[in-house]
Amino acid sequence: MSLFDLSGEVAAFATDNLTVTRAGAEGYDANGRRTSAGASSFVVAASVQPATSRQLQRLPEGFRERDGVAVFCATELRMRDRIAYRGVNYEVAQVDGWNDAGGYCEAVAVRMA
Amino acid sequence: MPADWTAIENAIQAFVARSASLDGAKVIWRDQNGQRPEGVTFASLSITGDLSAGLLDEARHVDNPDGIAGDPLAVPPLIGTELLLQTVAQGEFTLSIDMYSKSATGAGAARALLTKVKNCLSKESELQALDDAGLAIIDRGTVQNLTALLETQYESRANLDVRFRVADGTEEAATYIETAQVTTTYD
Repeated sequence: MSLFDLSGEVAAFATDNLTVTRAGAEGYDANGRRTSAGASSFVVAASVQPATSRQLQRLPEGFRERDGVAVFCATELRMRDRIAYRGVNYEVAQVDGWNDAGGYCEAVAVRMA
Repeated sequence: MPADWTAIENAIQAFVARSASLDGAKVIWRDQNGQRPEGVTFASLSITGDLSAGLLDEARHVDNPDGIAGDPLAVPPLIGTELLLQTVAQGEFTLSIDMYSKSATGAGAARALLTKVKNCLSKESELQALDDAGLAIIDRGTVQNLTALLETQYESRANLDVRFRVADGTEEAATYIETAQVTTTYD
């Protein structure tokens, strides 16, 4: 049970409907080659804001120089989820999952190279 | 004739899996942008340093490659591909094997597992299996213990570089010279 449920507030401040693409389960076949189940896509209502410089600073090297956005939504996002936002593809590089405690998820996604 | 790299990779991977008694899915090719295999013991493979062995290419041709061996005219050649031009050269590459394990000592240690792989490079059956894929071993390398910290715990790691030679080449279809122009006086 959530300590506090902010999913309603997050939905009220939603700015966009984002299409999220999530890779399927990964593994290796008997020849040592990577396998991946088909990706799935879904739409989430989210508040998209510019990532702060502090948020970008916390990302691994190589991600900090890219354009980044902070995404707030009620749906749980995962690392490496791909987000289509206003015609540009982003990849989730950092997740603060408050879904259990607060009913929302905060993620930082960076523009894909 | 071009080397069949998929068959070569499969033969190498199967050899390492058999030698280290690991499941096939625990012997993976490196740099595939995937997660580590589940479990604590696995191996990763990488082929590097593909180079020519310094020998001249052998050039040859096959008459009517669509025909029957020994009787090339039994089936008429296809127009435009009556000849098959081939080049063959010896290439050399290094197979880098990294082994990972949680056991620091005993038969399960990465160093011990990789030593077992190295010793199996002398087995006649394994040599034959690699030969079937067109591979010849020229250097069995040295097992190096590279145990290191992974986050807060030591991870047993070892590396072995094995050098192979392989025949590689090219193929292209060609046809006979049908017309020739002479622009000078021919006595």
